[in-house]
Amino acid sequence: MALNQAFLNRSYPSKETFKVTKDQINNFAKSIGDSNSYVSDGFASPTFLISIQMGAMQVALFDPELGLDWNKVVHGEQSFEYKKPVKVGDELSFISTIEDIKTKVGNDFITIRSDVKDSNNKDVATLRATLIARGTG
Amino acid sequence: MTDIRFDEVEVGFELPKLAHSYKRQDLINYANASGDQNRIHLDEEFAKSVGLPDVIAHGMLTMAIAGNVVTNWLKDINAIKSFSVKFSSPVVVPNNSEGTIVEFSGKIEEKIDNKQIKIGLEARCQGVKVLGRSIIIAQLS
Repeated sequence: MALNQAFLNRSYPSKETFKVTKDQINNFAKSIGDSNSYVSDGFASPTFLISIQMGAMQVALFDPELGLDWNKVVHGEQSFEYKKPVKVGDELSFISTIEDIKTKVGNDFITIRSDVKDSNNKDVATLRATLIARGTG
Repeated sequence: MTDIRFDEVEVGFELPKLAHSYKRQDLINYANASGDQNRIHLDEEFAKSVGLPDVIAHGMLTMAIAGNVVTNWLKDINAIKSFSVKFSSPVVVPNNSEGTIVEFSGKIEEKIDNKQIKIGLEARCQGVKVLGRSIIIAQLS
């Protein structure tokens, strides 16, 4: 089943801000083997924000009207553009937008962009995730 | 700022390589740290029921370890300007003590404006590329 094109360009602001703790930064760094000194200085590893984007995306992606079959979803692409590093104490907000929906050779593709800002409304990063639902098109 | 100077690096320079052995416990640790508790990464029976050969690693774990190749070299989080990957093949992680070894490498592909460089990253598992086109843009001093 093709994805519902009505979802294109829809935006989902995060309902609450996400406060970054030292434990989260340390646990994430430890789980990926990042032992660089910026971690003990309170800065997050480059892909840390994915742990927040996942939650921010789910509101959109689990909407049954979108038609995404989670049993067939794989992660196709991921990107991060950084404006400033994430650090302990940051209070981050997310706006996630469905940027692209297409069907190619029977597979559904959906790209979600998440724009991340801090509590001073300064840009922190932009993430893009492309998910592929195989053989549902 | 990183100690690595733009004037002192050349296109074609290979960053120090990294090998990582993925074990089941690594996937549990990453699931807990990242919040991605998808059962294809944690539950062998479930993974097989959806047609996978066994539990597979989170693609984002592979992306993160590929990032270590660059951050271990630059030692500066401010230097990382963008990071993008394509996932091309899963890393299968059987339940054994030796784990599944993935070898990570990075090479300077281009020197660009404002003392930035483009680094191409590779990750191979038993010779098979597990990442497609994967790039970090980094700011040197």
